[in-house]
Amino acid sequence: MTEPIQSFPELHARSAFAFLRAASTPETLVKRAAALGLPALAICDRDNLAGAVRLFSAARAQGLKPLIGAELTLEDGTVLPVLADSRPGYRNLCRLLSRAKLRSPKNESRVAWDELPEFASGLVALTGDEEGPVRSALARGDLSGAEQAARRLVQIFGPAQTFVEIQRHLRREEKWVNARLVELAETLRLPLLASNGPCHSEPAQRMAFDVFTCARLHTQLDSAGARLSPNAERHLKSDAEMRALFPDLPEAIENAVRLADRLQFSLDDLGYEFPRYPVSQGETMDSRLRRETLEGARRRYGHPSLEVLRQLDRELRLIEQLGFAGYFLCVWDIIEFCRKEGILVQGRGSAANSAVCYVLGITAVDPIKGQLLFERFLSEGRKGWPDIDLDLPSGDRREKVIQHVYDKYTRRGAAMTANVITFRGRLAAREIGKALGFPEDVLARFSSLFGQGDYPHTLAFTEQMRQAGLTVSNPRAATFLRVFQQLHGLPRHLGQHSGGMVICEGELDSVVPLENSSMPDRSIVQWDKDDCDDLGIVKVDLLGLGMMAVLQETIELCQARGRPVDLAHLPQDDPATYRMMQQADTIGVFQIESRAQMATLPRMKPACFYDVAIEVAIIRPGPIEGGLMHPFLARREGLEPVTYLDERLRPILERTLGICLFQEQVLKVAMVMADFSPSEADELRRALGFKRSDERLLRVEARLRAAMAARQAAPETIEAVVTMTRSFALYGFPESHAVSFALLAYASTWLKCHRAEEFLAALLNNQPMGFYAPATLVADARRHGVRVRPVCVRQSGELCSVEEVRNEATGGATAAVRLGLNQVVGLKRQQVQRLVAARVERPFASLGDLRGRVPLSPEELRQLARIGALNALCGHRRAALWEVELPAPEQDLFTWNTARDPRKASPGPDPSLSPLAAMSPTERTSADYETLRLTTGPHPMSYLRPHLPGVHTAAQMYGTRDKEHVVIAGNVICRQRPGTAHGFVFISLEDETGISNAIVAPPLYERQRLVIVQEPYLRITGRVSRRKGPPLVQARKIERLDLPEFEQLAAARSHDFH
Amino acid sequence: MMFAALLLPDFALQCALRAEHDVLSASRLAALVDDEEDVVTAVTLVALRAGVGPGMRTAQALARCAGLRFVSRSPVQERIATEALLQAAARVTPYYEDTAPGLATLDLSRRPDPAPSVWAADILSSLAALALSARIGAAGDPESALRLACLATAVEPVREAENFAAAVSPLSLAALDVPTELQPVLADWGLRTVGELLALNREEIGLRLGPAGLALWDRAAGRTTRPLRFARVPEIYRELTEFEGGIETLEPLLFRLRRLLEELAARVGSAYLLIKALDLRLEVDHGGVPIERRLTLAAPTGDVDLLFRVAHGWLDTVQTEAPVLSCEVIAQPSPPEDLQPGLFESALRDPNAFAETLSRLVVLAGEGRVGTPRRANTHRPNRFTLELPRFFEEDRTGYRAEPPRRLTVGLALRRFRPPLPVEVEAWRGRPQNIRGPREWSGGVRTLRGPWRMSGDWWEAAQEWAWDEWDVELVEGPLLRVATWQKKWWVLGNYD
Repeated sequence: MTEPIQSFPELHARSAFAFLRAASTPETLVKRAAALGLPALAICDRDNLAGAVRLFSAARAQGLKPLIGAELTLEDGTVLPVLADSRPGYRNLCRLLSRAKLRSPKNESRVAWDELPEFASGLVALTGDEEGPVRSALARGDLSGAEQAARRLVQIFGPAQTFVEIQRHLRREEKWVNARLVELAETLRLPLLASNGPCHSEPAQRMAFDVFTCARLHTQLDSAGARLSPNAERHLKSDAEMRALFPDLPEAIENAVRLADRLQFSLDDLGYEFPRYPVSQGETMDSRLRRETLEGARRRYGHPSLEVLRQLDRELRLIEQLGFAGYFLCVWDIIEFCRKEGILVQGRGSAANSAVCYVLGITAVDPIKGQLLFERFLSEGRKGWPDIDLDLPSGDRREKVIQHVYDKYTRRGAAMTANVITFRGRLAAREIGKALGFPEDVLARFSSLFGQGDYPHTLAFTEQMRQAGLTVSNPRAATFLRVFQQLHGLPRHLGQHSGGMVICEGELDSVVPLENSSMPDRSIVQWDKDDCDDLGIVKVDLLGLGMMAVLQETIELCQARGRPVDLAHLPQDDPATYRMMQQADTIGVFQIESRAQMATLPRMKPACFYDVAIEVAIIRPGPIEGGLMHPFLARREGLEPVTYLDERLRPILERTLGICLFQEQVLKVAMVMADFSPSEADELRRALGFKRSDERLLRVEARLRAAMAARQAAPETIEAVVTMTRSFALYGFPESHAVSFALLAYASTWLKCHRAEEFLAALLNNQPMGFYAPATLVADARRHGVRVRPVCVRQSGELCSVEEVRNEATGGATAAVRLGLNQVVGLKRQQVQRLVAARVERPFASLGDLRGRVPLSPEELRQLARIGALNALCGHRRAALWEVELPAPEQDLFTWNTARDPRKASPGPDPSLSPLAAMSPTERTSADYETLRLTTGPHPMSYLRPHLPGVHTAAQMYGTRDKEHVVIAGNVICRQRPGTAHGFVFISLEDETGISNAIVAPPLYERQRLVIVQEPYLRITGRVSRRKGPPLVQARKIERLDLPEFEQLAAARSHDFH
Repeated sequence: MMFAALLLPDFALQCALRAEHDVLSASRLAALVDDEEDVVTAVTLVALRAGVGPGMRTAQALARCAGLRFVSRSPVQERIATEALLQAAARVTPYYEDTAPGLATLDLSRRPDPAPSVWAADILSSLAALALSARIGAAGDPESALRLACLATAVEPVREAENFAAAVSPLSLAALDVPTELQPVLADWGLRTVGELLALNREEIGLRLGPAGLALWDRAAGRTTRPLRFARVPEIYRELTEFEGGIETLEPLLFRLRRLLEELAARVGSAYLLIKALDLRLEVDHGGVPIERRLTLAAPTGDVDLLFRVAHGWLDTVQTEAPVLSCEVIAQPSPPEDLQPGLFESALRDPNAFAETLSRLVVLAGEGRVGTPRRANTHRPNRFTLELPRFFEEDRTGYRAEPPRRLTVGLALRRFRPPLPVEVEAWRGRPQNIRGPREWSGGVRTLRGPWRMSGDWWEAAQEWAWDEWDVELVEGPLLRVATWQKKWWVLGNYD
């Protein structure tokens, strides 16, 4: 990078991070620039630096000089490109962008001319392209306006920092404008600078660029007219091409060369510092960490063993050596905040390998006891920050922690990381279809054929077009396909990462621009987590986990009922809990509740905590793709002998029966077989997990092969080891992570087993979460004997709760879950709180009394009446629906007494006087599903059962034989098409006895796609497969469950294609 | 009986199917779709039986019924069907109301024989001949008549009832035109039929649902009556002349045409109206496609000579492959223009004379080749459209487009239309020597360019891309040349 630049550099390119203003990624631009022999490339995206890190990383790999800049939208709508020539310039650019973004609504930014001088230092200004302040004046024929704008730039940035940008795109119209620009440069004695203003890497990408223009301007290609690009010239051009364009102005090229040479800012020089933890006088961060660690060790172990102390000392010395003490203390500080606020928190990820994290309370698993590999977390040669992810209860509690971090490090010192939303199948197709003028119904049909999400479906794109009504003979069909390929994967806008927070010692807005998130009180940095990771910016993941909220709430409910539970001291060998797992009775519990997990549990038969960790880890794309799952289960079931590739691997792989399941094992294998140092092993792990670079993986793999060969490993062993490690390239799962998750899986199963009522109430209060809809959770709980009582304005609280019910038969008390008012769709939280507050003050004597005291809207009253929540006041649902339509009682002098004295309140209506007949059972069920999304009454399938002779219930399926011909039917609660299933689709049908599962081969799926995707109730005919686990129907025929009674029945929500 | 409702059930669906030359038939699997919302709004009976219903997304409807055909609303067919419906009503009584799309209400009180049995069969069959399926209900008030029409079926298309309440009792509430805000309330109450609604106490309904509820109850009970807003079929000024054996020359046609126009102008004039357009239709022999044309006048007129000249001008351009069997002329009436010219405006004194001249030019030059050139909204050079003046619209708005600001004033280019194909010797894509007609041939002395342009890439048939050059030949001419797909053209020469 120190060699002087001698040929043309492109100094004003835009990448797709200009969002709908350019059509190539930074990586594509860099690759093309390198192929053209450009020595440097500056990307100036519109009002952001979102592509800067990708430019930086890609350019470094290609040997190009990356230059950082941005186009600033000014208050008058013109656009000013600026480049950072130094670190102060970069800081100014970040702060300027942050200021403009943070005061504007999402996706907008305006910089005032008057504020430019404050941030001009270290920035180089170009006069810009046709949107620039100078050329836009020229386009109006306003010569003096153009000169005035240029003089203003000189005043702000100085003559040495202002360049008159000149572009030639082979357009007749630009000749006059360029002549004026040359005159202007001469008049003001400013240097001319040639650029091509590329918006795409190659001419062909102009198609995507034009489609973006249509998307941005909300128009179609046919009507966009002159707003589209006039030709395909705005692509990267080589030195020779540019010199051929400017034979009369060689100085414009030379000035670009000189400027590129002069710009010295690199993202290596970011100046990021992690916050220092404040310590008292005479103490260092290291000593403070040591003190807190030892105190924590005493809390955890009482009298820590020598082994524990030795491990802690080893870790502390390494932390000290790497300078990470401040980071640990900051994370510990968050943990302490949670503890003080009573917020459940648990560290996961590789931090669970650290004894220091364990004793500081950051993680909950003892890594020494679990023999976890510390090197997976930290090693001597490590370059980046360690990775500590904190799981928090989702919802308000997590928000409290996030706001605590904002408060502690200030709004300009902390922000969430971004998440780049890209054009995937459905979005890309829709945008292109709109631009091409395809009718809305065709687009809707096309989208519906994607199913949900971007799973790798087997429907060919052309067939999908055909089914949507777009024949191949359509003159625009080929274009649709071509542009789809160009658009797919390009960024669309910046979203917010689910939990990653970046904090900074100084002002974070000097390191990276900040902008508002779409959520209130949140700001984001313009980089995603990989970008932050690449630049060594530390990120603390504050992840919201629904199950953490459930656990916390369950514990609180148990405490309130006098049945306290200490999560930290649950019995780890509870037979009932393991029995539940072995029977795949895990609906609602953490992680092991999915269809795939439930299919494996009866084979896996977890009998100890480590089994649960394996169960959590094994149903993952990595192990499945790598072909590890079936051998492991076969070994576990004794169908296959346990063998090792090399006897040296026995201690490493013994616990997983010779199969390499965890990342830690890969590291250990590399350390043992190839003599890798911990940092080399970690580099291997990072390469395996690094999605963007195949080359990096190949390099490390080559090193692994060479090292193993040097240690005389047999070629087949080398190959087997490399294959084994490669299967982690997709989704390697760390053992520490599995153990952390297993803890939650075990705890939630234990609670489901022993605190079923409290657990269900908490689950319902924290929806949406998990794999199943509330209707399924309630149905499952009821099959387990849990009583679930409907919403009632006299009994229900804001949330679902557990109440004591007197058992008339025994005289004793049993528990029942009372659905909370929070379950009622359309009832605002504020209204619920008012209602509960009014009732606490005094019970409702009648419907009139309720209406007099709580200002519910007619629709809210109807909602309550529909689900029977007013039955206690009105008798039955229809009687309530009849009564709520009466005009609201007027508040006057004479109702005062009634309002305060329930004895004077008018008695409720006599339901027998209601002229409306009570709802039938099926009507009640429909009303429940429509208003509550669940029912406490019979399952809809129970009404249909008499009409379904020969159809197996879910419970009966367990009595079927392998290959038996069966028919199943039910409410579709899940459709799944895992990427690992080669196009096979899994469908779960719920009936009154449980859930039955079917598998659909791709050809049948494609034939019946719309029926499968659209219908809420299905009847599936096929043969039972019982070879591997629970019964699974191999579908031969799928049809809509078509019964006359059916039309009136609503259905539970299905969890599809996630 | 005093009132009858003449109803075209599923009006929009019927019309949409009619637009596709189809008939609402029990064997058709079709659904009417709201294109904007992608939602089914009406279905045929067979589609309904297949599980498709209004409110479904199209994808869901297809899931239920793979062979389902989606049709969209046809405003043209709806207009035609409305006219046919009203004309049918007019045949029964002059006192009828254009109540709603697909519904006419007839006041039969002044008819000596009001019973539907007398006239219904004729009306139904005449509508059936137009591929329209109708139902008739007759009762003592308009609303009840409509209720009964809703109860009628294809098998029993006429309904009249002595005991109205009992008859309409099983009728779906949907037939009552329930106000949107009341629909969910009635659904919550579990009411599905008129009878169920009538079973409720009227006062209790009024207490809960207010005046809208009371009105609904009264409608259901047949207690309402209202004066009809009588309509008239829009009078069509139509004249037709037929030629026995057909004619092959223009003269006899012109002779008859003049008489037609005189009659039309007189009829229109008697209504104090003028003619703003003429619709001409020539039926030709041997089943040939009829020739149709609307001739719009620059200003409404009653001048027969002018009308004749305009029609004559068009007929001059018409060539038929078979003898003309008939000529139909429909005059579109219009009130006289009430435009007050401004004091300083120089409006056209006689727009029709100007229009007539223009129309003659159109006859001579061809469609789209006369008018004011307007630059098309595209980067493609030399792309323009010719717009004929829209006389009164322009005068009324007073809008005057500002001429585009010209940044440069260069040499004038004389464009060759079409461009002149030439042979060009090029070196590295740059023209060196041009071989074409003599004055446009020769070696290139100097050149500028290329100016590169392309567009319409999204449709292969329209895609264009070329490089333009300005070249000065040794002999002196200054030309604009272009190349595309390895061919060269001279686009024009500079003055």
